[in-house]
Amino acid sequence: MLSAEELERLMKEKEYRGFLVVVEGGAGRDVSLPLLGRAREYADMLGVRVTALYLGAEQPNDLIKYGADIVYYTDALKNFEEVAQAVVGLAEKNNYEAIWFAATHLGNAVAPKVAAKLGTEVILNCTSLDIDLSQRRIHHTRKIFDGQVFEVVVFEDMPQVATIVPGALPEPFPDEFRYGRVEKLEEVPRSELVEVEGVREEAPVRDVLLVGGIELSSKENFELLVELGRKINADVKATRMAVEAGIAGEEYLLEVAGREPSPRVYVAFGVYGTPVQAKFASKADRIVVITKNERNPMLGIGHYNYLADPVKVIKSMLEQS
Amino acid sequence: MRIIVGLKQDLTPRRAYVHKRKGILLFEDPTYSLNPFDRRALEAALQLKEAVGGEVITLTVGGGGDPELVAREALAMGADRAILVEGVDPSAIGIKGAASIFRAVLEKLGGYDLLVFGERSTDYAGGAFGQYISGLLGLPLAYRVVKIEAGDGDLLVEEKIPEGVRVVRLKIPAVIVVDGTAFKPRYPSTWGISDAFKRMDIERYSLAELGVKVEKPGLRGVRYFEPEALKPRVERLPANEVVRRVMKLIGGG
Repeated sequence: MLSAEELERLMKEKEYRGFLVVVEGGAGRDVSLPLLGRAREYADMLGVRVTALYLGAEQPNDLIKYGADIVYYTDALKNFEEVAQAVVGLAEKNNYEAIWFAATHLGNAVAPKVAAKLGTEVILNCTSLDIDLSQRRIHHTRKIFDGQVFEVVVFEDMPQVATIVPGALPEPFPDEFRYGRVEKLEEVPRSELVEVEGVREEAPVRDVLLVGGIELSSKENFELLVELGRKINADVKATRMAVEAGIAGEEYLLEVAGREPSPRVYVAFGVYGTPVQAKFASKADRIVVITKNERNPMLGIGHYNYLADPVKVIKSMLEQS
Repeated sequence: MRIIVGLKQDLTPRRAYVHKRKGILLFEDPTYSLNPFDRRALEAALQLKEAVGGEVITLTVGGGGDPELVAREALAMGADRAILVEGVDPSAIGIKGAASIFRAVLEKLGGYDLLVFGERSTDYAGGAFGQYISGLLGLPLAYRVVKIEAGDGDLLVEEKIPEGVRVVRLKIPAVIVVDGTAFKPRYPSTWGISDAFKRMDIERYSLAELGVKVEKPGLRGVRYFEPEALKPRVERLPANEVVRRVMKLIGGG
């Protein structure tokens, strides 16, 4: 039995129906397609339609086969403000129950703007999605406390605005027999407040930390690691033990105190597991340990542990990168 | 230039975990401290102030432990004024509630040129507040900024994007969300700390003074679980094979 409040809530929400997926053009396209597949799945369960907003020049006919019923496309939206206004325009007209973005630079910037304009909440960087059909609510899973715990969150407000991290959802299945409507977005909002002056390409900054330890055994070997770091654009640090032994300069000392944001990947080259190192490393998403000593205590905390000569590994990484 | 920095007090327990049977979120040794990402935002604001002059005002909406310490720390680093909204628990009001309080304080303050925020927090890691404020106030936004230059009535900023850097010109007033790796924060000076505790005052507001009624949050955590531990496995491999796998992990080759 539904309580009176519950019933009132459900009745009030009656007008929110359908999904809107914002699909980026160019490089962001591939990470947005899985969202479309998942939206299709839920829309079929609920008996509603999936709308896609494609931000690209070419006519995106293939979005239909990945699950969209209606596709709007435009390449006239130049900044966050304009994209947000276009999404809000569609949402106000059609009252979608869920608005999804891929968790890219654009998605994470625009989704909260959209939520603010629609007076709802927002969840960024969801790692998985699920649906509760009895409540007609989407269950969003996200990482909290540096990934120590996962939280499943549901919305009280409508619509449900979220960004989903690339790779969280399976690849969509193209259905060649689907049909739908593709339209150019007519009303393009304009914002004069922001102007994109241009893009300066740089080598991708990888969120990777290479740490050299005592097993590198000489200054020359540490220099190789520094060169590798420069080549693949990763940070290079040394343990206190390596600095004390004169292998690395003082400026490379890894300061483990304080609350520095942790790297995504931590690669230990011949590092020994002093408690400080272990504590710092354990905050990284992926820990790779390369050592030649099978009794190295770091082997207990690494996700990927390789028994190999770290110097040899550095040399052949230099050749290959 | 009048710069306002949003600072949040984070819950920083030694460990967060989930009760095996009850499934509730628990903390080992819960303490509170200034969010490190917000510290970078404050650093960005201070650098801009040093370049073009003006004042830096920090704004903190509530906190679980002693939010005054966050405000004092900001003053010690070099902020000119610190504002604290008392009697609110940020985790209990949600982003919508916090944003409405923020807006009310901004209205009290009168004019401003720039709002600066950190990329995300380390506790509930919403990562949406700066962008949300920009949507609420209809201000231009730059996201994950690594460099700020003041121009004449506008700002030239560099945003970090996967391909490199995007240069964007923003009309002020604007909102900037600082990248989590840029602007290494300074340490408070000794005299700064002394001033922050002895001479400078924190401006305090309560919800009644601001005239904001906080609604219940629009989000609800329904379930918590811990990630499955990756099983560590030790492999003895030739150097070439190790290289191939490591390159794949770090996203190259």
